[in-house]
Amino acid sequence: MAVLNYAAREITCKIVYCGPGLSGKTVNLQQIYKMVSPDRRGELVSLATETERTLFFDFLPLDLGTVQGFKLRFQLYTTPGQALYEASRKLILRGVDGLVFVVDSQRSRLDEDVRIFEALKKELAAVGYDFNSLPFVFQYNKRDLPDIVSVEELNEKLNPDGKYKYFEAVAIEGKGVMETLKAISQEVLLKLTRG
Amino acid sequence: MDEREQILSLVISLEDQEEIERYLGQFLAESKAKAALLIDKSGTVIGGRGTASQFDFVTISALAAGAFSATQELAKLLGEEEFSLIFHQGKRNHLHISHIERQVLLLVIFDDSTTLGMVRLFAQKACENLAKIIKKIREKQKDIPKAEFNFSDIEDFFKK
Repeated sequence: MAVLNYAAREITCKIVYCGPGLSGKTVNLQQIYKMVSPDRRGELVSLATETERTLFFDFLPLDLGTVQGFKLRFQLYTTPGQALYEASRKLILRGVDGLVFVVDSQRSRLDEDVRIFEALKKELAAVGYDFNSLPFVFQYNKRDLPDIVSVEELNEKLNPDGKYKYFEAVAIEGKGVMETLKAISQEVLLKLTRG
Repeated sequence: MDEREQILSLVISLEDQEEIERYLGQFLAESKAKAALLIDKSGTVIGGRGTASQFDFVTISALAAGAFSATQELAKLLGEEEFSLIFHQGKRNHLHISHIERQVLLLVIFDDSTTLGMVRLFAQKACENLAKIIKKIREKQKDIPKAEFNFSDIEDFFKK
């Protein structure tokens, strides 16, 4: 739920990174944290287990600049990817303004990517959102690994109508991370404007 | 819910903000708490008053909204409608969360210069007043002025 504050001249939007477990959602936020200058971001908060798996969410506030005299603030969240945490995932999806789905490109993970993508639509519906009306982009991550699925095949399985933008990434090296964030920012702003 | 309503679900005018701050100020004066924040359930700060400026309110709000939602889910799993008291007690600072209406929470930070009872009592009254403002905001925003948000304005953020 975006909050448009005319008094403070601020717009705050919530962007959620989702995707299967170990696809690199937290790594995306860690890289953004590293790449963005400290005066344009807050602290990165991670609620993780001892083995560094996301337990509840990661959180990173960003200050993107000024549009139409409004300070644009984005709050980035990740969801826990593991099936066990479905209830927590639904909580984080509440109030979402834009979604990034981080895909694990390894062939062995393709079925899981598809399954989690379908589950996401159901989880959104359960908290009162229509997936089709939300700003959305894909990130095809881990493009540096051996035995990965081609972009064509990923599109065929996940994005058959070519409706959504997609970005190839090696998040661990920072490749494709800012491109993905830029694309979802564009989509969210477009949505705010279109009315 | 139409698309615009879904994404722009709270539009706060200058006048609304002043009213919110006034009620929060009144609450602080009565309860002797250190800070009061109005936040939405997605974790965004809507308004705030208080002397506890050393705290990172943005992060506190995100975490408190998460904790609140998790607690409400726990209540449901136990067959309760909700857990009406959400209170974290520290050695010096304590945190109290109240549910104002479906999307909005009141977060209060206080120390030993007041008591949980005082905070609860006055928070209840503040919540009633704040709920009225939120209701008014929701009714008004059906006719939000349209704005053009140009992406080019923030393009330099993405230059590495």
